[in-house]
Amino acid sequence: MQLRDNGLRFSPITVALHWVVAFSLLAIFGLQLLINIAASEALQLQLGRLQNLVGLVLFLVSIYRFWARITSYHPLPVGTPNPIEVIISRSVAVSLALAMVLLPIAVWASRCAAGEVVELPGGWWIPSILPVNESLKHVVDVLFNIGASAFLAGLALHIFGAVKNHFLLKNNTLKRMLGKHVEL
Amino acid sequence: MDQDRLDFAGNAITRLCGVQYPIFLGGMAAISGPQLVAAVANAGGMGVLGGLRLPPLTLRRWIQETRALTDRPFGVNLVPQFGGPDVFEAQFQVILQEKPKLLSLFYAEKYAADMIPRAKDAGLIVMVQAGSVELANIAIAQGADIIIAQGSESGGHLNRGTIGIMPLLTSILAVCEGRPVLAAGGIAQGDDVRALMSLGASGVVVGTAFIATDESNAHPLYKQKIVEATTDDTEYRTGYSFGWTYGTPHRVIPNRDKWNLLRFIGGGARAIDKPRMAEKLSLYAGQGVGKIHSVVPAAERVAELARGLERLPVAELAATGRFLQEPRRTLGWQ
Repeated sequence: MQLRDNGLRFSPITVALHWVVAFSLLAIFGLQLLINIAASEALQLQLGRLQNLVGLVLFLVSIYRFWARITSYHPLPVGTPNPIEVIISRSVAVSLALAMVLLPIAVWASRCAAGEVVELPGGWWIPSILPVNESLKHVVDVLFNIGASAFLAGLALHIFGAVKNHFLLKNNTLKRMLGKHVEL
Repeated sequence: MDQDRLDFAGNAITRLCGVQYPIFLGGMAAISGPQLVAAVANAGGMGVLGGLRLPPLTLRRWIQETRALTDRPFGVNLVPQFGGPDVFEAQFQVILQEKPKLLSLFYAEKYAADMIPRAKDAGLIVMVQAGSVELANIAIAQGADIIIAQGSESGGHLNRGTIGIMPLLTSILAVCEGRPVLAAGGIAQGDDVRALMSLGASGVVVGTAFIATDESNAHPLYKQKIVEATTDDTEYRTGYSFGWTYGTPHRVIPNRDKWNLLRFIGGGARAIDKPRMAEKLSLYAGQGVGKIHSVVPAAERVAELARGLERLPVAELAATGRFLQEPRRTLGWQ
């Protein structure tokens, strides 16, 4: 099995982890919605723990993904896109991978600075090594909001690119990320 | 066009490659496509497809399209950039299967020791472009049949260093062990061909002058910029150019628009690109750009370059060398 990406194709690991990350993100957003409408505080806590677990998985997977992305060749683009589009799309992909490493760290740092414990299901928790500090929390929250906004903008561009390639240009860009072997 | 053809007796390179004139098209990525390569080949020169950045399937299609347009020999240029070694190997496999007459390599020192013997075993002639004597020596040791001495006057990508074509050509000729050496850099007219062949080059490689031809894949605005640019207008850079490792030297017509970040990127604009690509990028061009005044058919460009293969009439030779016969005047301080 091909373990790393090369100029001709993505590895099955990259394809699998791409969708693990995509569904983890969806799960985090979905859980946040459920937390907001949960009837009891106990349910909110339970969902919050699950959300923290998904965030932890996302963080760990994203460390590998970011490392793999910057140390492997990116497969050649499908079709004949202009060079600027290629530069932008690849920069966005790398930035998204980096953001999914940094944003969970920011969430954890903010909770630590607020004196909250990041709880996980089964009575587990993530250790807090930062001091309780209101100013620190404020700084981290500001940075998180900036990063999250940029991340959402990048994600929108990423999805737009995928949709454009699939429906407008009718090429195999999206199918390649769904595991289809595309001969270049 | 045939009636205008020069009756060139041929030399080592034309006999080796099976072409009429020792005039080679530079294998410019995306620009040197099947139409241009076939036009140059049909006009008696050696067309070279720009294989850089071409996925293997497209490379195969381009070779087949070129074959459909000409029965003359042509080559393919490969550069192991953009996509890494797997893409390079896949492109090479296409070359081994399709067997064009010539394989041209650039920036391929890491792979060439293995690749050149494989290509030669498959019956291909292998040509390596070198911007320094050290790189030429490496290419010779690796078995290259032809060396291109690429002077820093050249447009597009260069090796590290800024050696002009005259010292580079003569230095490489001194170490080439009898191999043919082609000259590249700033060649746009017959006079340039004559000058470099009189220094010992077996032929020339021309890029920029062929961008401004009807058959090139360049965007019309790119061709127009080539036509409008003067000799003073190119710049040697070591910043970013699309698809290449940051810092790879290249020569461009720099874009000077103040609020345009794309001007820091070197590139070539294809006919299929949007006009703003040609308007915003700093476009590849060599120092011969000032001598290109119109977009013409490639055959006309080949004919103009081939004019430099004519023997100079005796009277003209005498005129050229007249300064040698002038009496030496003594200056006051001598």
